[in-house]
Amino acid sequence: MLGTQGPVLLYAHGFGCSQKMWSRVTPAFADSHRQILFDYVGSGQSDLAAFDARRYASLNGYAQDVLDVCDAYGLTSGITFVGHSVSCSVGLLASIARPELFERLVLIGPSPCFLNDPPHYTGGFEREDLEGLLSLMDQNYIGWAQYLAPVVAGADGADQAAGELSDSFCSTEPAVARVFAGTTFCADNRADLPRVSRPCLILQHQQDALAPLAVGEYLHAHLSGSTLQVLPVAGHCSHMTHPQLVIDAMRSYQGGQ
Amino acid sequence: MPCGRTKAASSAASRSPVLTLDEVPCPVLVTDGAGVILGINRNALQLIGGRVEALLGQPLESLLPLPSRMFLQTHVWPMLLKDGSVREIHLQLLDAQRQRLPVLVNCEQRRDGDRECWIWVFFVARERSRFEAELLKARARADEAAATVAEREHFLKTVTNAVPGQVGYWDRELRCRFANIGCLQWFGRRHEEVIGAELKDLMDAPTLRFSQPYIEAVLQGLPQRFERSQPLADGRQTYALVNYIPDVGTDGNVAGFFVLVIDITQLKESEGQLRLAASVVESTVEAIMVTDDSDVILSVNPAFTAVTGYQAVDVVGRPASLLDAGRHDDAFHAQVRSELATHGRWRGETWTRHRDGNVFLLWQAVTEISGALGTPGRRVSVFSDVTERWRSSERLRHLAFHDPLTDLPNRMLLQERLGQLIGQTDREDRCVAVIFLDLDRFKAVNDTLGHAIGDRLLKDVAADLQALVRHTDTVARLGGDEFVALLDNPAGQDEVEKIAQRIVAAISQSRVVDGHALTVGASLGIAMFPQDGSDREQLIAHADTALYAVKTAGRNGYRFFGELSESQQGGQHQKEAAARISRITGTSPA
Repeated sequence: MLGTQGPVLLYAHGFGCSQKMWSRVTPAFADSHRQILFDYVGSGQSDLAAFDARRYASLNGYAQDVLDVCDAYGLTSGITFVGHSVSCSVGLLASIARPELFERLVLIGPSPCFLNDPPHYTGGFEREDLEGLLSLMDQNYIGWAQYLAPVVAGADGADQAAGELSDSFCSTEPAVARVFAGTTFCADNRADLPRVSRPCLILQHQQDALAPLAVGEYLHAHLSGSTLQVLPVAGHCSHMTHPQLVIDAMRSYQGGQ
Repeated sequence: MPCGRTKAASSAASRSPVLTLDEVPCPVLVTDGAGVILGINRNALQLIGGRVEALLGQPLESLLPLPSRMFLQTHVWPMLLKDGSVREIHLQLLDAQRQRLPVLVNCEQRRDGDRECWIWVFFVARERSRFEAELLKARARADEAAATVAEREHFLKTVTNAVPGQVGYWDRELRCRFANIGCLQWFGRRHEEVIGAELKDLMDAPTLRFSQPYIEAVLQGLPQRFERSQPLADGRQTYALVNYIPDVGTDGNVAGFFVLVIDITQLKESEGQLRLAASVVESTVEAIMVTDDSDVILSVNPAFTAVTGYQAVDVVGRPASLLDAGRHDDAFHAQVRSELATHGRWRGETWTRHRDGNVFLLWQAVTEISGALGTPGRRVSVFSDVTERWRSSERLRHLAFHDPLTDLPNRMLLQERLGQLIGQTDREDRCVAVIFLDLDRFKAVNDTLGHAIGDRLLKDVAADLQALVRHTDTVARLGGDEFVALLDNPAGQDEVEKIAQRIVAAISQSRVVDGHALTVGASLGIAMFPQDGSDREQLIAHADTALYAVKTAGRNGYRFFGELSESQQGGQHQKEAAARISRITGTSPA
């Protein structure tokens, strides 16, 4: 946790990264807020031993991670959840499970369902695109001697070797990343949207291969009490590429409520 | 254009002589921080196709198929923004024919004046792909193996964690190689603290000292099984059953040993309770006999031996019926069985044969105990010898119906017997003789020699009377010197007369009581049923009337009521007789 006073900002990173992706946003709130950053199990510096593929076969497992973090800090209310990409759905699920914890949610590049569901829903992806992504992940993680090491060393050495993973790809453990990718990109949380009772700010990127404009509009239409703000950004990671836009949007949303 | 197509990457960033993009021998693109294409070299143009003007200002993403776009967004940009560069990233480019072309990408951030730009260098990676495909396959196999190992370990963990005890493995150096959750809880440590740790660092010293010989033995290849007790922090004592199983390799050497520890504290405690229960059974004064559901004796306690005379070895394995004295009929046994079947218990008295042959009365409580988990039921009999109690109650009953001096039936029993005889005779056409007897001159004996002598005389007479009648006949003493004999179905009046004569003769003989020679006489009045009366009162009254006739005629003789004159039968003594009869029969005088 950063800071000792003020309202709580809880940041949840997106797929393929870790809490480090928030480093351009957090300084702006250092004096005014308590900020909590965490890594999902299997990401960053999290405890790999805690990873259970079955728990994380559904986004609810990740939502439980969020709630566990809240409980660990003894938080009971007033949280502003800031999520990126797939973490937006995770945050929405957490707010459904424990609405009293959350004051509001800021969703950066959210998508309730990445896969297309013709004719009425265009998530942007077909299943083979996802398989292509998994294949690229396989190819790009191949350079990691460490990844093969545990298999060669046998199960005993696994924990140790995994702990020494390099900082590449935001320290995501490849096997865990595969589960995360499968779970997040195949998830369909559209039916959960009407159950969300907390106000949400949707920060939609103007040009985003992962979450097209139509997805942001769909969310806005199905999340009652939501605000849609389209950022003039090409890409999926405005909090990294255009942190000031995100900071301003967060400030004005919190101030305006 | 700072990062333009004809200049090298950046004049500001590059300290080396300017090299144009086109001179770089591989495809190069330049973008801004949002991925918008700012420059492109000839090699890239050949690869991608199209015109420079059409490509400038387009997002880099538009040159990539969707999966590569996803990877770019989720992996590459976060790394670039964090580290400023990436090396040898696998991506796919869409070529001039919009076909997916596998490429390796290096990208680096350069500052050009006040703007950031990103140099993307592509290598077409056809040759590397084949080698890497092999590598990928190898990894897929490794993945599978790892998954199998993980699954096996998960299975093993699940199974061993489900064991309500400790399951572990220690190698020769006494380092822990495996510990289920029961072990971890016992040591109070986390998994990573236990695995690889030495036994001496995990186990408390006394327990380790106690276990040491067993550990040495199991490392010699000998399986060990022992109990040990361990105190808990709160002072409670726990007991464990410990199994050490050696892990003998194919070379015959012991590589380590498996440990299975089961908490048997509860077993121990219930064992103690069992021992207590057993000692109660052993020491109780009540005889206890356990039989199976077919009544074969399974066990008996010492009190059983005291009560029945049988040792356990005499009876165990034999049917409980060997105790049966044979005094109960089939209906009784059937009732006991039905009680047991319906209520699972029976209480009552049974006549039982002691080993020495004597028959005695038991008070017995039988309880069915249904078998647990399909085992056959048991029958527990608790009993005690109540013969003495029975005897004293029988004695009380006897006293109520007998004269304490002579032990002859008293008037109540006389009444009852006479009633029974009349009832029987009514049905069976039999006869009954009622002989009323009064001693002559008894009052003089009493008055001159005292009551003690009188009583001795009465007892003497009572014995004589009993000797003169048949076993089935009844002699009762009504009080004072009055006796009544009931003769059950005598052969006829002649037979009765013979008996009467013998009585008169026997009583009239002089006898010596306590050194005194005494002579008394006997007067007998006889009434016959059914001729002389139809009920008890009438018969006794008529016998008394006949007695009166004897007395008035000079005593020491007998008379039949039926032979009296009419005036004698209904004569003057009637009033006196009525009072006597009411005293005898308990009815009020008419």
